Amino acid sequence: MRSLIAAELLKLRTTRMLAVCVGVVVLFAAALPIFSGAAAGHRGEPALAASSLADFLHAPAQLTGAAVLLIGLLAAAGEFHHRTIFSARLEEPRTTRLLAAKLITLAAVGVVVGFAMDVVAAVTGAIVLARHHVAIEPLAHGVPRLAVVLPAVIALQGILGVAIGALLRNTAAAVGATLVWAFIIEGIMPIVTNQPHLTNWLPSGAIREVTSSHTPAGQLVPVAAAAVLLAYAAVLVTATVMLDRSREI
Amino acid sequence: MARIEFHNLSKRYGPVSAVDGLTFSPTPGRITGFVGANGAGKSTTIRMLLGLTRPSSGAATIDGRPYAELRDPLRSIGAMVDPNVFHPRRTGRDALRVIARAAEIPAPRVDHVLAAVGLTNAARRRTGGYSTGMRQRLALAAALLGDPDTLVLDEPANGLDPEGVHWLRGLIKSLAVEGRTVFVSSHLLAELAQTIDDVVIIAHGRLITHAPVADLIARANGPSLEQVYLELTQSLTDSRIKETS
Repeated sequence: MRSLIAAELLKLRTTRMLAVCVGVVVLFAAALPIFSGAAAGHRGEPALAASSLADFLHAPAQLTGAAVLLIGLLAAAGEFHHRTIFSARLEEPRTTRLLAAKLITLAAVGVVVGFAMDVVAAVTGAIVLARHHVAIEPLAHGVPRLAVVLPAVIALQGILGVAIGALLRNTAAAVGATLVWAFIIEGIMPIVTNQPHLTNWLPSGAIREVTSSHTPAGQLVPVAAAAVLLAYAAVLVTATVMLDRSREI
Repeated sequence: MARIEFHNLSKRYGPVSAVDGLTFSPTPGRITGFVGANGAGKSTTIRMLLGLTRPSSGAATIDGRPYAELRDPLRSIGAMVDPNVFHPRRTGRDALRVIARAAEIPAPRVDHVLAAVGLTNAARRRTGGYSTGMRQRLALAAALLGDPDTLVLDEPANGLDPEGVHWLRGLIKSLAVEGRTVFVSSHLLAELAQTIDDVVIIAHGRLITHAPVADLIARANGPSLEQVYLELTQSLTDSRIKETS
């Protein structure tokens, strides 16, 4: 398994996809605190406070999660698009091991990219706070919790990306289906079912709840939201494994 | 040396029978040509051997086991199924490094096989810029990566220019001289006749014959493998036409 994971990492390193996504994430994580600092206190924007550090960490998480999800989608579906699945299956004919290696790799990539985002956002945020003479309190306002939870959620998004890509085996279909689900289905379902709280049980809502620092009535507590996300990942991975038993390449 | 065996192997796609009860075993240590017209079932047979396609019935085994159960597949059997199996943005060298890393093959072997197929100078170019012939060579390099004693090559001469075909013939012969088993499919009979020791002829998914080339030509009293092939397959084609009419 270690050699398969090493090969998956090498696959990511030898194309530009990972480097471009990480570059965008780092740039975004660094730019957001600077823009927030410049806008703070103007045109109705609240002034910077010690709690702003948590906001700086939280702000790029959505984009980072989406980037890692995309890497997962393209890494899995791209094997079929570029037909590299043939050599992958000759190296390791057991499809479950191949999928497991990809899932572990993308989870690890998610953790690393998440921590990189944490560090960049925290350092830039601390500099911005210092320039505005605001106290830097890295151990308060939920900052330590966010620093751990955000990479974990981003890793889960990597797993979801791989599962969707491996399930659909087509990059355009995988990206399209994910966009339709996130921007249309998740918006329509609570309205159609007349259950506004359903949003919290859907993947995007659960991601939001896992990272939220407070839980109003009717919303999921972070642990429950994490369990919902894990359940989605488990269902998708199981479906992929089951289908792979009967599908050919 | 790995022994390839096909036992009553069949593959159906709905009402179409792509492979129909194939039973044969290429002789270890020899070059066996796997010959048939386009659509005869050669690629499907090879894909079933490599676990890329599931048989409808029967089995294709390597040393008595399906490919999926081989402990170290790339070191047992080197396969070339399609030249277009490389990520276009990855360099030829990186494409092989990925395979080597997954199969725990030492990294220096990558440069060795790249040299063996004459791609050293193009090793750091992206495969998206490779010609068909270069991709064929890279696919051959991938098959050789694990230094297997058995090679399965599906239409390796497709897309090669005359110089490339000449090179491929030399390569296959040199691999056989080293004592390897080579099982090579092709529909280019004249080309294959100069390289192979034995021939397996199939038509419409069925085995027509499996024999040493020299014996076949002598027995059929034909002037060439091409003539023998046409005579052997014509009767089956005629009976098929009668069946459908």
